[in-house]
Amino acid sequence: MKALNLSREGGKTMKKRFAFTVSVSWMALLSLSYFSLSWAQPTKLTVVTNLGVPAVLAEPDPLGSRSHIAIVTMHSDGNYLSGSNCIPLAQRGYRALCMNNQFTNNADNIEGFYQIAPTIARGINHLRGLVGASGKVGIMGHSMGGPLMSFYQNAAENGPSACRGPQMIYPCPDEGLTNLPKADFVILRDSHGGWGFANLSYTDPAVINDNNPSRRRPQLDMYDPSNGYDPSTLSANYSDRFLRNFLDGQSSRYNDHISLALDRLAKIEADQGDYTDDEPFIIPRADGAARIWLPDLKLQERTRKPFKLLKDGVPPSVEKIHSVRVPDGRHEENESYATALHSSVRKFLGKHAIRSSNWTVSEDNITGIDWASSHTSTPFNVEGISVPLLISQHSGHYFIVVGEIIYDHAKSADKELVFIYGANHGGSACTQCAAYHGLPPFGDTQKVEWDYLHTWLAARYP
Amino acid sequence: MKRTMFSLIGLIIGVWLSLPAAVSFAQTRPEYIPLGGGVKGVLYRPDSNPSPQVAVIIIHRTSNYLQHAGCTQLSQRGLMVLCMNSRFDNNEALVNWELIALDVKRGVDYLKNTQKISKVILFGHSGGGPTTTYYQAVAEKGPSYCQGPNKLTQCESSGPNSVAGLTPADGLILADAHPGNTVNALRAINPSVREAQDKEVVGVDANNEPINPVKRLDPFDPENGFNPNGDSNYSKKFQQDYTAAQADRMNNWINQALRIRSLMAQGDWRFPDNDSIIIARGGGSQAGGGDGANLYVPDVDIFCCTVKPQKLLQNDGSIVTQIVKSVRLPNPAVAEGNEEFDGGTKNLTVTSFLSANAIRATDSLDYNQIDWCSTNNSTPCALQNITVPLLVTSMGAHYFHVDAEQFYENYAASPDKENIVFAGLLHGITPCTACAGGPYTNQVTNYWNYLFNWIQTRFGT
Repeated sequence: MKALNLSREGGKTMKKRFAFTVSVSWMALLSLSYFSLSWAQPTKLTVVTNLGVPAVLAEPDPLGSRSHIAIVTMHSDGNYLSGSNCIPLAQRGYRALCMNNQFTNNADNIEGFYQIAPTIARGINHLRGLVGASGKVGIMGHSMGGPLMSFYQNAAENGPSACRGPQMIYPCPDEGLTNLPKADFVILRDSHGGWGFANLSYTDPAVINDNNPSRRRPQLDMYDPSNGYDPSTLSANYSDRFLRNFLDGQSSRYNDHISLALDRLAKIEADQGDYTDDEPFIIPRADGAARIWLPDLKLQERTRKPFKLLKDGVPPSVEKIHSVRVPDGRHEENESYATALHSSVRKFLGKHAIRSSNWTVSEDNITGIDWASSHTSTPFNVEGISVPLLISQHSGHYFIVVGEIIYDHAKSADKELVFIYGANHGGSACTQCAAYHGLPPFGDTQKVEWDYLHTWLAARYP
Repeated sequence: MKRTMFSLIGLIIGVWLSLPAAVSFAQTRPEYIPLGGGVKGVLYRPDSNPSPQVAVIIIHRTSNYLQHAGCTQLSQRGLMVLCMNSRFDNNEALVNWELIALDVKRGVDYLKNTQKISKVILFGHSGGGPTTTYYQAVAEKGPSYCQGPNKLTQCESSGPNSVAGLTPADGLILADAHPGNTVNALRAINPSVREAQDKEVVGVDANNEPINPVKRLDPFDPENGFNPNGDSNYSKKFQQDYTAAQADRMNNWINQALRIRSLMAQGDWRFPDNDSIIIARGGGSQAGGGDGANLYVPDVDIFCCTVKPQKLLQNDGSIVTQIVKSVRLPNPAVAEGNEEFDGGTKNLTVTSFLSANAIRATDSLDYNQIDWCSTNNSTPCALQNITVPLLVTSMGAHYFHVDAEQFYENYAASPDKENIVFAGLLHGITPCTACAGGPYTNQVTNYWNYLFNWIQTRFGT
C-alpha cells in the first residue's frame, strides 16, 4: 500500500505523504548513485545558509562543462533538503538548488504563492551569482511545485498583473512581485493543475452540514456501493448520471463556500468581522476527501492527442498516452479531521478558491474550470510564460489529462509534453500498477526522466 | 508579531539576523542529515577539531534551528553540533508533544552510533528548553515520568510511539528557556474574551459575532493601567484578578477540549480523531507566541527581577552577584496584534492544544498555583527528574530570567548546576541596542565563550 500512497497528493494528503515520497526517492537515489550509475558524476552537497530559508546545493564535483546551467527547485510546503530532486541533476553535470520555504511543513499557513515568490527569487539570484552572466538558471517544480513555479515565472515575466485579472477571486498584492528575476526555462514534473483545482476535486458533495459531516446525501456519496463503488477493491464504475450529479454537487458546495468567504471578507474589511484581519474558515471533508477519479479508472484515462512516451530501454514512441494507475478510493480517510480543509477566510480565497460551472471529468478531458479565477492554476500561469517549457508527467498517476491541459494552455513557442511510462507520482516505477494491469516491470523510471531532462537541456543549452 | 520587541518571536528574528555573522564563520561544509520520521538535521563539524568527542544538539519544538547561531558559534570553538528541526517544525497545530522525545532520540542516537561521539550535550533555547528537558527526564526516569492520571496527555511505553529506552544526554544547557509552551499559553491568554464568543462555529451555518471584551479584565484598556505609548502600570488588584482569570479561561478551554476528546472516543463527535481548537486572543499559534496578552510585556515592572541575588555576566566579561533586573523595554503594540486572527489567536487542534498548549492552574504567574506536572511540556516538572550537569542561562533584556531563577533554585535536581544571566541580551541572544546600561556589544561573544568553557571544563571537546 505504500506505493499507492505515492500516487495520491493534493492538500494535506499530499503534504503528509511527501516525506515518504522523498525518503523513498532518497534511498533509491543513494542506491543508484553508488551501485548503478557508474557513469554518474560525483556530487557535492552543501547546505546554503544565507538565503533566509534552509537550502541544499548539489553540484558535480568537480564542476564540468554543464555546470553553467543551474536549476532552482522547491515544493509549496514539502521538505526538499534531502536533495533527492537535485542530486540526479548534479550527477548529470548541473548545479541544482533544493530549497525549502517559510511554509515548509505548514501548507495551511499559505495564503498565496506570492508570499513564496521572493524566496524563489533569492534562489535564482544565488545561482546566477554562481553561473555568471553567460550561464542559464531555470526553475523546476514537482507536484504542487508545478503550480508554484509556473506562478513564479508568470509573475516574473508579467509582474503583479499576472494575478490580478478580472476573473481572479482574490487578486494578489504588489508586495514581492515586482522586478522578480526571470528564469531562463521552466520544467514541470507531474504537475498539479493547481491548488484550487486540487481542493475542488477533493470536496465531498455528500456533506449536508459542515458541523455534522456524517449526515450525508446518499445520492451524492461516491463511497456508497449503490452508486458504483466497490470497497473491497477500492474501485468504482460510476454511471454518467451519478458523475453529473456528483460534479454538480461538488461545484455547488465549493462555490457556496467561496461566496461565504467573500461575504466574511467584506465584513472583516468593514470592521464587522470576528477579528480585525482574518477569520478561521474550516470545511469538513474538503481536503483529500472525495476525488471522483481515484476509484474509477476510466476517468482521466488517456490523452486526446499523441505525445512522446518515454520507456526504460526502449526508444521513445509518440502515441496517445494511457494511464496505468491503480484504483485508490479509500473511504475511511474521508471521515478523518485530516480531510477537513482548515484555513482562514483569506487563505481559502487566496489559495484554495477556484470557480467551476457544469464541470466535467471524462476519459480524456476536464472542462468547466475557470482556471483564471485562481493564481495557483498551472494552466492559467503557463499562459503567461514565454521561456522554454518542459512538462514531464507520469503515466502511473492520474495527471495525464491535466498535463495535456497545461500543455494546451502554454504559450511558450518552445514547449514539450512528455510522459514517463509507469512512473508513479514520486517518479519511481509503480510496481503495483504493473501487477494490477499484468504488465512487465517499468524499469528505472527515475533514470528515464532525469536522462530526458538532461537531453532536453543539452539540446537548448549546448 | 513584527512589532513585539519582547515577544518570543524575537527569538526567530534574532536567529535569522545572526545569519550574516554565521556565514562568515561558516564551517567548511555543513551537511544535511536526513534523520527520518520528518526530522531534519544539519551537522556542523568543527574545522579545528578533526576528532571531536563532544557534540551539542540544538533543537526547538517548531522553530527552524538548522541555522541557529549556536551551530556555528559552538562548532567554531571546536565542538560538533547537530542542529535539528523536529517533525513539527513550522507548524504548531501539528504538534503531538509526547512524540517529540522520539525526534530528539534520532539526534542523540545518530551522534552516539554514527558519529561515535562520547558526550552529547542538549542545548535548549526558548522552546527548546521544554523539548530538551522533557527528553532528558524521560531518558533518565523512563516513561513513567510522562504518564499518570494527572497528565492532560500521556506518552506511550509500548508500540511504535514508545518513549522507553531513550539514551540520556550527558549534560544540559538552557538558554532563556521558557517554563513551557503550555505556561506561555496560560500567561498569554486574554481573559477579557467572554466565554460564548470563542466557541467556534464553522462553515456555511456559522454565526460569528464580533468580540466584545469584559472591560474590567481588558489589559489594553487605559483605565486598567494600560499605556499605549509607553510602560503600563497595572494595579496589584488588577494583576491578581487578571492572572486568576487567565487560569479560569485556560481551565475552561481544557475542559472543553477534554469533552471533545471524550466524545470523539465515543464516536459522538463530528470527526473521530481530532478537531480544531481556535482561541480568540489566546496569543498567536506560531513559535514565539505572537501577540499575547501577557501583562509583563506592556508593564516591565511585572516579572522585573530575580528574588535572590544571581550571577550576572556583564559586557566587560566580569561577573557580579546581585538582584538582577531586566533592562527590557515595554511593548504596548501587542494590543493591536492581539485582536488579529493571524497574530493573536491560537489556531490549534485538540491534540496540539492539550499536549503542548494547556496546563492546569489557578493563577498564571504564581509558581505555587500552577500544576506543573499536569503537562509534559513543563521545564520545572522535568528538571526535578534530571541529574546530569545543568547550566541555566538567561537574557538580561528579556523576562525569562525570573523563570530561570525558579528552575535553578526550586526545581533542578542536578547536583552540578549553575544559573547565570547575561546582561543586555535579547531573547534571540543578540544585544539590545535600545536598552539601558549598554552597550552590550561584547555579550554575544561572551555568551558563547562561557558556554564553551562550561562544556570543555566538564566534558572536554
